[in-house]
Amino acid sequence: MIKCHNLTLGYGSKNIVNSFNYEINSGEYLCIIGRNGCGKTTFLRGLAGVLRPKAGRIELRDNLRRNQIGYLPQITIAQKDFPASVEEIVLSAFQGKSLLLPFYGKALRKRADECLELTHATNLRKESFRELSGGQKQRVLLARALCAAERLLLLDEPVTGLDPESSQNMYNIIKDLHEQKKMTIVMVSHDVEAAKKYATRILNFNEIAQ
Amino acid sequence: MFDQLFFYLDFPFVRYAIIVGTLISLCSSLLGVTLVLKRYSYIGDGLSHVAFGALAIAAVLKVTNNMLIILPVTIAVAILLLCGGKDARIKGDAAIAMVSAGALAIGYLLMNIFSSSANVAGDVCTTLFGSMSILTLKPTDVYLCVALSIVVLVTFVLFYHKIFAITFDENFARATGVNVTLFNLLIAIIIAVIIVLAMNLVGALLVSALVVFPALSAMRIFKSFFSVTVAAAVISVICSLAGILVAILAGTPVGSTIVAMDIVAFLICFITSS
Amino acid sequence: MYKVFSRITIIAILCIFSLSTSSVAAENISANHVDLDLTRMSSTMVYSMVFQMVTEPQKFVGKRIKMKGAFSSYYDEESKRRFFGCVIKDALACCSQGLAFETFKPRKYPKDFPSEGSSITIIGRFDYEKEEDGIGFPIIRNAIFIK
Repeated sequence: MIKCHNLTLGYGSKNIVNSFNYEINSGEYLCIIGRNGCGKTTFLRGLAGVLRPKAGRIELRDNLRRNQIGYLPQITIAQKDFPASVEEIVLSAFQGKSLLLPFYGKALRKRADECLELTHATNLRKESFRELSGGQKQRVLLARALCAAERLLLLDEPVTGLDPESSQNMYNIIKDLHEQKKMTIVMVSHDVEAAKKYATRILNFNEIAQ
Repeated sequence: MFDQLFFYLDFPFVRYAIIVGTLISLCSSLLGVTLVLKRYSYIGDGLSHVAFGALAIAAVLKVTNNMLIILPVTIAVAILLLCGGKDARIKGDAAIAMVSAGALAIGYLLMNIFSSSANVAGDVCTTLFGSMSILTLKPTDVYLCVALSIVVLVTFVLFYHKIFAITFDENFARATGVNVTLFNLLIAIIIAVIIVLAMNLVGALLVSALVVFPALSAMRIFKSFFSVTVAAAVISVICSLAGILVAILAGTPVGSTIVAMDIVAFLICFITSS
Repeated sequence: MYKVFSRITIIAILCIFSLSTSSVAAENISANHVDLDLTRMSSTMVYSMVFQMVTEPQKFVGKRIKMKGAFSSYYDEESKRRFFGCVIKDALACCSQGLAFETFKPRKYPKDFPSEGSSITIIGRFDYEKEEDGIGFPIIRNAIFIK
């Protein structure tokens, strides 16, 4: 589905991922593990198109288009107390598609509702994002990623900072998306146990970087 | 008191001040929400100092329309500060502090050395604290302020959702294909324009208050981005109108009176929300 | 605030004052009639009004003005003229500007004038005096002192 050719990623003059070759296949549930600072997140940002490759390229295969890739970045401090309703946040996923629309149409609203349902967050639709629990926040952001994506999900530490119950909840949702919605999952995680349990393949970044 | 007020409203310059003041406070509060949420509050302050420096340069060069210098310089610095991003060599708050204090010092120095006015202290004072500026606008200034405000408002309404998406999550927006770089550039330009306009209303040193207070007040009470934006605009316009009216009735400096109103509004919001 | 610079010549701490006695007496002063009474206005308004008078004098020419301010005088070496002025400050008390005036009856300086800086209230007719170099200045003619 995605193939990296001699991919080099980094910030400024510093290279974090060097001439990396890798292929992600359709239908996989890939977990990327490794210690902090080894380049997992940087690699995911590269896949998501947030970070431009400094060298090499990322090839999208099997007719995969950029707008079929959903991305769940790590939550930032600024977002934690951001005054926005869940609906506003989920709908913002469509900004890449609709140009200059002051209002969202019915079709888009319906899709947003479907995505909220997939992440069991329908009841949160009118809530304020900053008043949600950590687990609820992640489910909302996952719904937003789903809105922007149909085939591939890139998840950056989706359970970090969550209590065990919320983590389990999140893993179950992702499992359902993988098994029932046939989505390809690429997840950066610290949780090796869960990776072994759910993933169809594990990529250990410690061995790749440096 | 109302007699006095209507007597004052008879003078065109008072009406100009009210129209321009309303438009400027509307624009500054809208973008203020984005600035506060992006953690860029202090950039407003830095940029207003840069605008002051540019003003001094314009005075030294004896440019007839000093906007021709102030606007481009402020926009250029805004782009450097807001769009330099992670690759900027001197980072964040240090860069802003440097630019801000540097521009202020150079501006004051230039005005002292080259100004042919006998009242440098007064000129500097009104520019920094905006005691009178809004009441001493020339018709050309009024037209320019109105035109620029309308451009800012239209741009904001057209790109409202894009601005929200970028403010909430730049990385995600980039991943979904939003041209984040372009919109950051647009936001930087709009902010620079607003700062230059707001300098007319409250003076260079108080601009950040005009930008930040209404947004913070609205965020205390409202929970969605849309309601916060609308509330910030309403609060800002009410405070500015009240400030201008109190200033002309009671004879207080316009800029600080408006900011005092903003502070009162913030305290009310703070108390009612907690 | 930018205007501050464009009108540098006019707004100085001391305004320009005139003691030309040529056109005195010609005018009939109908008691204390006033078109624009600055003493009824707040300091912010007074400052703004005076600014308007200085920048757009043509709108005010001929109007009878009443204003209160600090007395000030200044001797211009070049023109060998002594100028008198009524100076007002803005709300921050950092900017000041003033209007020049000439008295209704010729008076001797300093004997017939108040002391420098003392508070005065004057009534007179607003006029705009053009100088030879084309740059003019506003002046209040036929001014009388009010207690």
